[in-house]
Amino acid sequence: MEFEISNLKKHFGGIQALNGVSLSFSGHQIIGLIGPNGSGKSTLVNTIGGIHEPDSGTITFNGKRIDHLKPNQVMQHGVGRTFQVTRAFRRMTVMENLLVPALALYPEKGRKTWEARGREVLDFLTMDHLRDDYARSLSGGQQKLLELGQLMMTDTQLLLLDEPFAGVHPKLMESIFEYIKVLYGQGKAFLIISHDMNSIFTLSHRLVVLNYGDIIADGDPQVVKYDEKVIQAYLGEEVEDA
Amino acid sequence: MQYFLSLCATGLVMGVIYALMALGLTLIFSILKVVNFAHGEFYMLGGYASYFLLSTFTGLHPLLAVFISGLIVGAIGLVFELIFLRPIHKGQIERPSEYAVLVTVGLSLFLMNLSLAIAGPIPRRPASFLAGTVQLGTVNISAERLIAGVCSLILLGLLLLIINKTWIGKALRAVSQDKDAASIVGINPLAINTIAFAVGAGLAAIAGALLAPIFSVTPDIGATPSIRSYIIIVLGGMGSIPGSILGAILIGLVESLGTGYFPDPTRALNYKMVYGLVIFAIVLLFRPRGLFGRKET
Amino acid sequence: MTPTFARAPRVRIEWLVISITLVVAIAIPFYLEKVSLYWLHVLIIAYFYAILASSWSLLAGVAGQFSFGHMAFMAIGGYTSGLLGKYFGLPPLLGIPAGTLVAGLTGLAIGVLCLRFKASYLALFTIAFSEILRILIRGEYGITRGDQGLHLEMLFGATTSKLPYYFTMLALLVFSLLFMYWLVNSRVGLFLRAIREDEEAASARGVDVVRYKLMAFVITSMIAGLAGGFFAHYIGILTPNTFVLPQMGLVIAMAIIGGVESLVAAAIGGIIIQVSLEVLRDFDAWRLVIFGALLVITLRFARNGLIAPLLERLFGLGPRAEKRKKESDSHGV
Repeated sequence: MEFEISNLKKHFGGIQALNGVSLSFSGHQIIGLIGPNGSGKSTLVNTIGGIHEPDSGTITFNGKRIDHLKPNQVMQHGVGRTFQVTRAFRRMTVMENLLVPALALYPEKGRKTWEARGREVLDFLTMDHLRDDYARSLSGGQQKLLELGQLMMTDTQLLLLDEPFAGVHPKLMESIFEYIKVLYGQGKAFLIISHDMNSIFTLSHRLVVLNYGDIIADGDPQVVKYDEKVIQAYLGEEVEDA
Repeated sequence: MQYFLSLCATGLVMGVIYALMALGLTLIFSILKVVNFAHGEFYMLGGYASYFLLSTFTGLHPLLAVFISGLIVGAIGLVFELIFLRPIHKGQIERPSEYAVLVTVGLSLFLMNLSLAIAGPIPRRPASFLAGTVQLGTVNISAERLIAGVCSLILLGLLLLIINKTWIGKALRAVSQDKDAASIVGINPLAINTIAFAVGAGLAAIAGALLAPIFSVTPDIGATPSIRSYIIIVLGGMGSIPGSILGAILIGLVESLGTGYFPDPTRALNYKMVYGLVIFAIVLLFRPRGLFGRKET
Repeated sequence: MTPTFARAPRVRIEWLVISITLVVAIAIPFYLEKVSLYWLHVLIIAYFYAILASSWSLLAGVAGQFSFGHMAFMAIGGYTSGLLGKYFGLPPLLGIPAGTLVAGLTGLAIGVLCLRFKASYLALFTIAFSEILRILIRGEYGITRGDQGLHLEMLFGATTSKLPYYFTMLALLVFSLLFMYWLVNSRVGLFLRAIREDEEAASARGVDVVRYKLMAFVITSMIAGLAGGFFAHYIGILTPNTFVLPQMGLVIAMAIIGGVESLVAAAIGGIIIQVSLEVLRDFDAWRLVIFGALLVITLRFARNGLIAPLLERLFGLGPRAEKRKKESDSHGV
């Protein structure tokens, strides 16, 4: 797997949300993406995911340009994302939620095949008993799992997870950890936004820190943790007051 | 030139009256975030209320009848808001934006047919406030329209004063900008919603009552002013008060000049709305925030 | 867990009711022909509205696009055929397909223009479209005969019997329902519902939102156009009043009171309301007052409609999910 973001810029009105962001990897990794509020993390994920068009810069995945594509096209290339506030299809069943990306990307395989695959995914996530329930009747944590499941249906290679642990029951959080590790073991790559420092430090092979649209640190989590610039970014004015 | 000026005069006067009604719609939209698809029916009810008041209480001053009509219809709006719109803001309604569209459409159907059932299809016309024409410089304008225009102007001025200078106006503006922040500082957004809807309805009714002696009232006269109001608020910028006033005047002028210069006088009146509708479609397609509206992120 | 044998009787009931309904629908016109041509006509019109209400519910309830242009597409179907007949001598059998096609193309254009519009803006734009069209048709009476009415050839020529019209309208209703039902249960229906739920999320999950939205517009406008074309060649005259906005409001009321997310419920809503309007003829304007009130009350207190829940309970149609959850809740699972 080859992924490269090169000098990505995006502004909204007067604000430069991404100010020349560059990031790349080969093979597969779990990359943690952190940074203070408003640093551009969600904008980055939204831009990779195709919801925003970058002003300049490129995004390449396995040799193909995926910037300026619509979200469904980005998904077709094997890059999927989850949402910070879960956006499962509320008035559709859990199984139907899983069928949507599957049938959208590979309709020729047929519903029966995909339903079988869906049950596999649900088994893995221990949610099979919920398969005929409306997504809206699921708990918040279960909905996060459902979104993960949607990405697992097809061969999504790079998963962008936006706050997968936010507001999740600790026990469920452990499960999500495990699922991510298993999927990584299957060869998938992750870019995970999280404010939960513990999870990020435990999971990530590599930590990227954004601040005001710039990457201010990128490397081993244990090293980045003590990077002055990173500490400054998070503490901000508090340091000056002290 | 004479013709042009008199068309402009009519356009301006009508524009001011349209502004009153459009302001009502803007108020409702900016505070409840809902397009009131029954706005024209409030206008129609205002006309009927005025007619029935004047024919029942023969000594009643026509302008007082107009004002009372506004109060009556405002009350109707208040009741509707409480029962059918408040649940939206209390989070009790799924898919609220669709619901709001459909429930006000339903209200529109209900009110129009209720009026038809009660008052019948025959046009009603309250007595004119003033007969004859007035001469302004070189231009003639019907006294009726002029009075209606002047009343609207005064009312508009009063409203702008209230919105900008009084506490209640501040509360209205606060809720329209940020409902949650407003509630933190002690303003009750639910109450403000209800007030806004009632006032909005009342303004439409006053416009209807003012124009009733000129155009007379039938159950279906609400349709056109309704559409015109949508055109105006979209043109001016949904939620913008100066926008809706400017938009109203522009539409008033466009309608008047368009109708006045239409090549075939026998069909001119039929096409009256087309100019506004086309402007409407163009604005929706190319600049949805209109002249003064806020840009949606 | 529902034991499998409990499913079999349910399926039988479904087919039984459908068969009985079809038999009645096929038999009743022969009876009515002798007894009351008026009521035969009422049923034909009722089926017409059922087609409109159910196709609108596909666009609005399933795909989430609350368009107010539906009646305009219906009128385009009728007027295209009528004008082609009047000025080019095109027979109705060719005119109606032509009208359907033009309605579909217009639906495509409107769909494209409306791609970015959310609820209110979609409603407003389609209202504007419908009104502009109506004003044009009314204004250019030199061509369209305006309010006086455009005369159209009867589809079945000299035949005075209403029976062929009845069966054709019934067939149109049945086939459009079958087609739409198939569509809703296919992956297209899945995608449309996903779009209705959350357009952006649907796109992020691989759905080509533009393609399926436009598909919904084109299919539903073609169905409306087809119904309009046939309606016009049954009534024999067409005026711009067929698609004044209150007519659109009536179709919306039918779909919502029936159940806007269920095609069959919407169709039944259309039939029941249209027949009720005739039954309650003596009440004049009060009829529509009742339905206006019913619309508003249904929206507020019975969002899924009044007929759809009945269908669900009788046939187990619709999501079992809520029911299963209730069952498992009551068993303390």
